[in-house]
Amino acid sequence: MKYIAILNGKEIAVEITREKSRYCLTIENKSFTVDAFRPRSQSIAMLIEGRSHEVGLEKKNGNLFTVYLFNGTIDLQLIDAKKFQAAESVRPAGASGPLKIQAPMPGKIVKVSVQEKSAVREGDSLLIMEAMKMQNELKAPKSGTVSRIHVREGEPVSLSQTLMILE
Amino acid sequence: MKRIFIANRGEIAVRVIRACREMHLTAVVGYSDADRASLAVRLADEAYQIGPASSLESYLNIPRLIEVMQETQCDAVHPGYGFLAERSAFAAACEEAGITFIGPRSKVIEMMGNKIRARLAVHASGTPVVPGTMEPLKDIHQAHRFAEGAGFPLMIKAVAGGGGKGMRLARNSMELEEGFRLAQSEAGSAFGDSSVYLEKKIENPHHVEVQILADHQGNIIHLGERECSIQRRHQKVIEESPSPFINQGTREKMTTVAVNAAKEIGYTNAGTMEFLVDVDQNFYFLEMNTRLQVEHPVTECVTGVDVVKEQIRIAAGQALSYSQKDILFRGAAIECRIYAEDPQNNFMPSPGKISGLRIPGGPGIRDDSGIYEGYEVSIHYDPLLSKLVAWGENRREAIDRMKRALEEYQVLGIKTTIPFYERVMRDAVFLEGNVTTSFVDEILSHPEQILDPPLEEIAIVAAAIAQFESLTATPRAPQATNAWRSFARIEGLRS
Repeated sequence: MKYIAILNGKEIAVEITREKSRYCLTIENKSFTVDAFRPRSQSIAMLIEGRSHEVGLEKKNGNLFTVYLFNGTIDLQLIDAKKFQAAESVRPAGASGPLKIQAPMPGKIVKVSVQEKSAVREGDSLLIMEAMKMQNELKAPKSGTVSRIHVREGEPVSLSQTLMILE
Repeated sequence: MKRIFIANRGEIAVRVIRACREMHLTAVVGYSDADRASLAVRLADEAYQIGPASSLESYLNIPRLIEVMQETQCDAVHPGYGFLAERSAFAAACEEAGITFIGPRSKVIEMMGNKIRARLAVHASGTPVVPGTMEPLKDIHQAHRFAEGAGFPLMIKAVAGGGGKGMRLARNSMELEEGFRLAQSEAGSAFGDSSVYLEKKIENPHHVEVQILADHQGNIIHLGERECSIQRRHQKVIEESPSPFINQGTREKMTTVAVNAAKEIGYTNAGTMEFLVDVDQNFYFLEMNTRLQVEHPVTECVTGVDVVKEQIRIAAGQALSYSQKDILFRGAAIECRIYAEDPQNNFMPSPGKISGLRIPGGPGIRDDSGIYEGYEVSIHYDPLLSKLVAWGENRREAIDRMKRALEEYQVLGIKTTIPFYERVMRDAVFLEGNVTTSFVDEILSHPEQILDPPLEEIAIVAAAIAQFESLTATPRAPQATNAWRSFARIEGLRS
């Protein structure tokens, strides 16, 4: 199987085949063999060229993965190479538009510091969210005008919920 | 004392249950709706619902807690830390209801809980305090006036403060205004008292604190000191004992001052005197915590004293099990507070379900935890998941064990601060033992140094194998649905 791994905006070619219990992988131009088993559904224990690695693994929406390594977490997408090429040929170039300000965590809106149609400068406070007993200030990532505010003070919000639109 | 009510949640509730079990006492837990499936509820002898998820209506609801304690015939209450642990009104309500509060008397909590009154009281006993306002600020103008005289930087602190909540650093007038507003709001929501005061910030200090134990017979001992300089947002994240920074002379002076100050205020229970120490080893009293602290396990590891059991004994009117000469300090211990926060994304809270968990073990490792596989980390409470503690014959061995244990620790489904501690355990300044309270900010000001880049190749290999497996998985044979076949199989197993 050939895949394209998308990781931090990079596209990395991956090829994988299996011979009995071993996998042969080529990532870009580097090849190695891997023996692997799943001690439980959410993790994978691997011997990569004899070196032992056990990592946590979560799969969302078919091809989105979160991998838990001992020194950090990596989110990546793994797309079938053929489908990727097909999608590439129809992708519009240079699409940009209003910026969605999304909730970086689930929590509660403590204060909305701006109003609709108000102009903000990069770094201005947009709102204050509270989660797990700490208040976090969300600042404007760019200068612009607040075109829509979707939340009110005191309202609970979920992860990635759109809070406001900045144009 | 037979039945102890635990007015808390998470890892500290579990910790108190453990002490109760060893002392043959019945551990009764009160839980909010959000904590119905908590580890504390599962481990307790008895558990009773105290209210909805909101802590104001459950863990902070004094009339409701008193009612539950009376209904369930508990004769004592352990408040843990946070919530009502330092709320004198709660201790007073317990005293009135005839329930033993495992902590100091309400009057002492009241005095030390008001950070301004505590500063005045301790100052009177001859202990140096950090310069600052000796009364709560009425408004922002008063803050500006103090700043004009004292200069920046300043710390804005909640009068009822603790745990870094309602605390902000101000380097200039603008930050003073913004911080004043945020600190007031945070203090109001965390403590129900929004008053704040100002303290001169001592540049690059070490935060060192002394653990004491005091009984009703007038015996007071200290259990040495803890270095708690590694803080983020003014909240400790790594603590160790002994402090690698202070010298023996400072240690002796500081522990003596702590014991004397406790004597002066008529203190009983476990307590902690917090100090800031400057580069020249001058130390200033910061505040006193009149409760069990999150970091008590490091002291337990180096002294062998079970602080929670001693608290319970003191509350029951028994004398301390130890005199000062019985306390022998052995080796070194380090604690990392494991939080549900994402260190790769500015330590954003990361609530959610723990889909996989491997807790480390082995020589010298202790994990005080409130989580399990399948546990849902709620948005309603602190993000503390567990405390990983490593003990070693010396500091180096403790660090090596901590490093090893962090690598073993696996929490899946949510992000945690484990990778950040990995980074700290390899940091040259940390290894040298000379970290100040600006240590974390310094690391964070160089984003490229926060974490080593995770091993992308390994992540890709893992994902590719999982994807390949899911596409090529052999379909499972259908389950036997024929009753005769099942019966025959069972018979086959019997014969």
